[in-house]
Amino acid sequence: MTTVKHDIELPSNIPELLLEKHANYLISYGTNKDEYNYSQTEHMRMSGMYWGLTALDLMGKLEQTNKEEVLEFIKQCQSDSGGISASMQHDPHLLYTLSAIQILCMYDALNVINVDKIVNYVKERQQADGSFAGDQWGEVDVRFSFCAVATLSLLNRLDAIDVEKAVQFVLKCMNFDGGFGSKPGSESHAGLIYCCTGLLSITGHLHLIDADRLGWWLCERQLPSGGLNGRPEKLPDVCYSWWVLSALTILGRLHWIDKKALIDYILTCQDVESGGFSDRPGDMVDPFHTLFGLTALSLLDKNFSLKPINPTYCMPEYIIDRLGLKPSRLDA
Amino acid sequence: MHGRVKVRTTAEQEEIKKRERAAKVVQYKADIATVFQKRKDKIWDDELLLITKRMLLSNSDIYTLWNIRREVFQNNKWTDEEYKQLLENEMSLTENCLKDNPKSYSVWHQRCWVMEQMSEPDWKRELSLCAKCLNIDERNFHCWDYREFIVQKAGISNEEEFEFSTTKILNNFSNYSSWHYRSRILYKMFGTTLEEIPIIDEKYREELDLVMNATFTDPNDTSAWFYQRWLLDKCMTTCRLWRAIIKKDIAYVIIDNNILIEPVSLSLYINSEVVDVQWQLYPDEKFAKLQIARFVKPLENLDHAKEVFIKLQETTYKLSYSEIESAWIYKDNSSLHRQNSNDEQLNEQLKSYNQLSKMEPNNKWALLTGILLMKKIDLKKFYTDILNNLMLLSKIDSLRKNYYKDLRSKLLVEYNLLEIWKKENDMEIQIRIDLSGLDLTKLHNNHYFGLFEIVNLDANQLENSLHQLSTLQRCTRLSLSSNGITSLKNFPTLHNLEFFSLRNNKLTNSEEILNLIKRHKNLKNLDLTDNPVCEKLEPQILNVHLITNLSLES
Repeated sequence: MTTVKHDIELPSNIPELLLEKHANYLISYGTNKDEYNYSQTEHMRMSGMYWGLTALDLMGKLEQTNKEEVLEFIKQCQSDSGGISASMQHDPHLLYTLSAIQILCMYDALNVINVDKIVNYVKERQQADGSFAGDQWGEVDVRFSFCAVATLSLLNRLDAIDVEKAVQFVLKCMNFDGGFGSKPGSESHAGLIYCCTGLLSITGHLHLIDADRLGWWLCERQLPSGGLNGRPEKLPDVCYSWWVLSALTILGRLHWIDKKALIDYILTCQDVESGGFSDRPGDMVDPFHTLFGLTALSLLDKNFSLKPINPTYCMPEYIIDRLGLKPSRLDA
Repeated sequence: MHGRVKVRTTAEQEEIKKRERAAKVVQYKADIATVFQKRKDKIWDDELLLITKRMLLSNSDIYTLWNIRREVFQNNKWTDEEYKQLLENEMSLTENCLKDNPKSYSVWHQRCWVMEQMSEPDWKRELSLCAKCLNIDERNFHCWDYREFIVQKAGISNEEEFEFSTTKILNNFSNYSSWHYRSRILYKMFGTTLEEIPIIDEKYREELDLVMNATFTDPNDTSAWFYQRWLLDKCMTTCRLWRAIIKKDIAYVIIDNNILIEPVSLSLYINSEVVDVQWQLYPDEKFAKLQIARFVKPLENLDHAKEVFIKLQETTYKLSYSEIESAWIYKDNSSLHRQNSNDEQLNEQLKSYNQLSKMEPNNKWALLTGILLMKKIDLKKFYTDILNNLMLLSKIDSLRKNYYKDLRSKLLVEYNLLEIWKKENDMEIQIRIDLSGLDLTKLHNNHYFGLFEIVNLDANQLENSLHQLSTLQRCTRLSLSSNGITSLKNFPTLHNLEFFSLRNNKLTNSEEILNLIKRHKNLKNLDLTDNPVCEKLEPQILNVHLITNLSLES
C-alpha cells in the first residue's frame, strides 16, 4: 500500500450503531440552556436545531421533540426583512433561513411564518452576476446560492429568482479538477461541491458537470482508514462522509467508494458513552457530525434502522416526496 | 467542532472548569444583552465597540456582532482622522481574531469590508500578511480567497501571479492549493476551447514537464497528479452536431458536448425553408443529446431537395444525400483523427512513468498516468497494456475497484466505437454493434448508440446501468443475455424494439415483464429463457392476452 501522509489508524474495535444513545444525546442537547457549549453556539442555533431534528427524524424520534416550542422559536426569528436569523435578536441570513424552512417542512408547518416575505428576502439577495449574498452585508459564496435555491424550491417559488443566472455563477466556480470552490477562483472543496451539485440537481442542470472527472476527485477523498477527507492531503472527517457521498449519489457514482470501509470509519467516530458522532475517533461529539454520520449511513446501507435521506436536500426522503419535489440525479 | 480531542479529567479539574464556564456563560449573557439593548436604542458609542471587541476576541464567529460594528462605523460622525484610526483598529482586531480562528468566514469578510472603506488602502501590506498566513497554513482557502480579493482590487497582473504560482510550486510541490491556483491563472492567460488540450500547446508542453518533475520528486503526494490529469484528460467543449439522419418519416439528430445552460435551439431546413419539427428528447430531459422527430405527414419535398441543413445554436451544418442510407445524413468524424503516435514528449513521458512503475510497483498514480498517456498516444496500439494497468490498479487500490471497472468500460466502449467508425464509408452509418463478453459495467457516452439498430450486449455486467439504454431509440434487436439483471424497473422504453433477449438473467418479477411488453408495442419476440420468472410467467401471459404476436422462446 502506498504511504498516505494524512490519515489516521482505526481502532480494532468497531462498535455497533448506537441509535438509542444518539437519540438521547440529541434530545438532551438543548435541555440545559445555561450550558456553556449551548450559549457558545447561539449564533448558529437555527442550523443546530435543523441538524438535531433531522437526525432525530431519521431515527424515527421526531415525535419526541417539542414541536410547539420549535415553531414558536422560528416565528420569533423571522425579521421584518423577511429573513430568518440564527437566534432571537441575531441578524437574518440565508444560512438560517434555509435551516428554518427545512425544519418547517419536516414539521409540515410552513404556515407559521410569512412565506411571501421569505421569498422576497431571498430574491433580494441575488446579485447582478447571478450570485447570492448571504445577507445585506454582501458576502458572496456558493453556499448562499444553494441556500437560496433550496429554500425557494422547498417553497415552490423558484420563479422568484433568475435561475439561469444563478447557474451561470455556479459554473464560474468550476475548477480544473471538475469540482467547485466558494467563489470564482476558489479551490475545490467537498462541502462546496455538495452545494453546487445540489443546486444543479434542483434546477435540472447536472449535464453541466463533468461527472467522471468530478466523481473521480470525490472517490479519491477516501483514505486507507476508510474515512473521507474534503480536499486532497487533508485528514478524514465524518462530515465529509456526507458532502462527498451526497454529491457522488447525485452523480450516480456512489459505488466508486468502498462502502464497507467507510461504514467502519463512521461507526468508530461514535462516542459509545455519551452518544453522538465526532469528526475523528476519540474527538468531542456535536450535533453537526452526528447528523452527517447518520445521513451517510442512511445512504450507504439500507439495513441500518434509519429512514432514507434525500442527497440533494439533506432531508428525509419522505418529506421531499410529500412536497412533490424531484431533484434530478444521474443514475435514473 | 473539528479536531477537538475528548480529554478525561479528574473530578477536581472538572469542578474548576465548570465554575469557569458558568462565569463565562453569565458574562456572555450580560454582554449580549447590553449589545442588543444599545443597538435597539441606537447608542453607537465606544462601549459598544469595546464589548463587541471583547466578545469577538473570544468567539469571532458571532456574525451579528460584526454587523453591529459596521453599523457603528456607519452611524457615527467621526472626523476623517478618527475614522481612519478606527479602521486601523479594526484591522488589528481582525488580525488578532484570525490568529485564534484563521478559518472564520466572518472575520475574513470583515477585513474585506474594512479594506473597501479605506481611502488609501495598503494592498501591499495585505499581500505580505497573506504570505505570512500561507506560510503557517498553505492550504487555508480563506486566505487564498482573501488574497484573490486583494489581487483583483490592487490590479495585479496575470503575469505577476503566474510568477507567484511558479515560486509557490517550486518551493513546495506538495501543495494542492498552488496547483489549483496555477490552473486558474494559466487558463486565464492561455486557455483554449479545444477538447484535447486545456491551454495552448507551447505552455501545455512546459506544464507537462513541470508536473512530471513534481510527481517524480514525491510520487506519493497526490497534489501534482490531479494537475497532471487535467492536462491529459479530454475537456468538455462547446456543443456541436455529431450525427444526423433525415428521412421522410423520421429524423434523428445527435448532439455532442451539450453543456449549455439553456436547452439547445435546433432547426431543420429543406431548400432554405425551415421545417416545422417537434423534437422528442432522449433521455427525457431538457438537455438530452439525442433528439428525434417523427413526421406524421411525410416530408415529400425531401426526395428532390437541393439542400438540407441543420442549424444548431448559431452554427449551420450541411447534410449530404446518401444513396446507401436513402437519407440525408451528417457525420462529424473529428474524433477519428486524434492520435499522437509520434509525439516525442508524450512517448518520453510514458517511458519514464513505466520506469517509475517498475521501481515503485505499488504506486497507483504512475500506473494511472501511464493509462492516460497511452490513451492519448494511441489507444489501439496500447489496448492490451491499458487493460493490464487497469487490472493492477484495481488490486493495489482496491477501495476504488468499481471506479476502475467503470473506467475500463469507458475505454472499451470508446475503442470499439472507434473501430466501427473507422470501417464506415463516409456515406454510411453502421447499424450493428457487438459489445458482448466484455464485462462492461457502464455504457459511456450512450448518445453514440442512438443510431444502432442491432445491439449485442450479451455477457456484461450492466444490471445497474439499464437506464443508460434510453438512447437506443433506433434499435430493433437488443440482446442483454447474461448480465445479472434482477429487475427491469429502470429499463427504458425503446420504441422500435422487436427482438429482445434477456436470457440467463435473474428476473423474478412477472409484473415487470408484463409492463415491459405493454410499453413495447412493436415487440415480436422476447426471450426469457433461464430466468426464475419463466416458471410463473406463461399462464399469466396467456390470461392477459396482451399482444397476440408474442411468442416466448422458452
